[in-house]
Amino acid sequence: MNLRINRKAIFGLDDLAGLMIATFVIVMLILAPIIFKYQIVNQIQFEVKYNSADLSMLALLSLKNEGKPMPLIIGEHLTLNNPSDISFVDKDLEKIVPSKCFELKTGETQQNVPSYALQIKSSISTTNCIPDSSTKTKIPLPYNPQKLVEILELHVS
Amino acid sequence: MRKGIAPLVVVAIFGALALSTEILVLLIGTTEISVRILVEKEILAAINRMEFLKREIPVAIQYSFYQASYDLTSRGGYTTFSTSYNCIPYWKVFSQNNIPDAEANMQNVFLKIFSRYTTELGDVTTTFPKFQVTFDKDAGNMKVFSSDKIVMQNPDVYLLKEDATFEQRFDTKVFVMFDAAKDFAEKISQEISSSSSYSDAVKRIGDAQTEFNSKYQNQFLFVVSTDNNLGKDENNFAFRTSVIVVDTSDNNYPVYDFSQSKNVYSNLKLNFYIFDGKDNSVQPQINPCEGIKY
Repeated sequence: MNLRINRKAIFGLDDLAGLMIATFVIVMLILAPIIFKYQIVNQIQFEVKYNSADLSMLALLSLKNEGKPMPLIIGEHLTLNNPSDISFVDKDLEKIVPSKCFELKTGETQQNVPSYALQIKSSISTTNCIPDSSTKTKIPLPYNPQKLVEILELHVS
Repeated sequence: MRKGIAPLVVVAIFGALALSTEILVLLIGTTEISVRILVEKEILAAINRMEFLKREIPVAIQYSFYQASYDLTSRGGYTTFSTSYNCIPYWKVFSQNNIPDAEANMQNVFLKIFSRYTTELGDVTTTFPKFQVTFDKDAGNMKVFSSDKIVMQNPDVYLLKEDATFEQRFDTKVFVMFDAAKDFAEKISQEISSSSSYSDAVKRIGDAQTEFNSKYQNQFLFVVSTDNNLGKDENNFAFRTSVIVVDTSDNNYPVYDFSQSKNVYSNLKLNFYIFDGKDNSVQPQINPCEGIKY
C-alpha cells in the first residue's frame, strides 16, 4: 500500500513534465555542439579539399626549372617534345601535393583540333591513391593557328 | 513492471523529439551552408582562375613575341605586302625607300597574336582589355599593358578586377637585326650609286658584305646574292640584290612555320630585296603575296 502511494508521488504530473523538459534540454545540450561541430568540420573540409587541387595547380604553375616557367616547359614538351623527359614534374608534384596522390593530364579538346597527350601519375599504388579533388586550366602553347592553348587537369587527394 | 518503464518511455520520446528538432535545425543550417558553400566555391574558383591567368599570360606574351619576331623577319619586316616578290619585300626600289619601321610593326603583329591568346585563355566570365605594348630596347624590357583591368565576373556572385600590366625581359636580337639590316641596305644603295658599272657595283656590294660580316661576327651572317643586270648596258645598269641576315646565335625560338605548317625551333632570318642602279626605266619583278592573317 505504501509502495503505491510512493510511486504516485514519484510520477506525479509535475514530475513527469520536469522529466520531459530535463530530457529535452539534456539531449539538446549534448547534441547541439556535436551537430555544430559536424557542420563546421564538414564545411571546412569541403572548402579545403575543394581548394587543395587549385592551390597545388597554382604552386605548379608558379614553379620554374632552369629559369623557365612551368607552363612554358609543359607547352614546349607537348608541342615540340622538348624537353622529351619531364619526369621532374612528378618530383615537383610530390613536394606540392601533401598526400602525394595526384594525376596531371591534358584535358579533352574540341573536335578537329590536334590534341597532345600528357599523363603524370603519382608513384603511390593506385589502390591507395584515388584523387577526389580536381581543377583545370588552359596553358598557352607555342603559336599555332589551329591550337593556342591546352587544357591541363590536376586531380589530387 | 509496466509502470517501471514509463520514465524510460518518456525519456525516449522526448529524447527523440529533441533529436528531431536538432536534425531539423541541422537540415535548415545545412541548406543555408550549402548555398554559402556554393557561393564561396564560385568566388574561390574565380580568384584561383585569376591567379592561374597571371601565371599563364607572361608565357603567352613570350610566345607572341617569338612568333611576331619570326614572322616579321622571315617576311622582311612586313606581314602585309605592297612591293614584294614571293613574300619578300623590296626595301628599296631606286630612290623609293620602303625600309620597315621594325618597332611599330613588331607592336602591331605582337598585339594581333597576343589578342588571339587572350581570347583562348579567357572564358565567358573573363574580359580582357585592349592591350598596348612597348619595347625598351636598351633595357631589354617589354611592357604589355592597358589602362583598363582584366575583369572576371559572374553577376550577383562576384566581380574581380586585376591590373592588366605585365612587364618582362625580352630578347632584343630582333631589333638589333633590323637596325643592322637597315644600315646594310643603306650601305648597298650608297655603293650602287657610287658605282661606275654593274660589275663595280657587284664588287662593292661584296666588300660591304665582308665588312658587315666582320662587324657582326658571332651575331649575324649577311648572305647576299645579286641578279643579272636588267639595265640597257654595263654602265646603265639595274639589278636586284637579295639579302638574308641570319641569326647565328644558338637561341632558337619555338614558332609556327607557315611554309611547313608545323611548330619548329628556328633561328631568325631577315629577308629583303634591294632594287637599284642607274637605269630607272627598269622595274622590279613583282609577285604579290597574301599577308599572314592572325
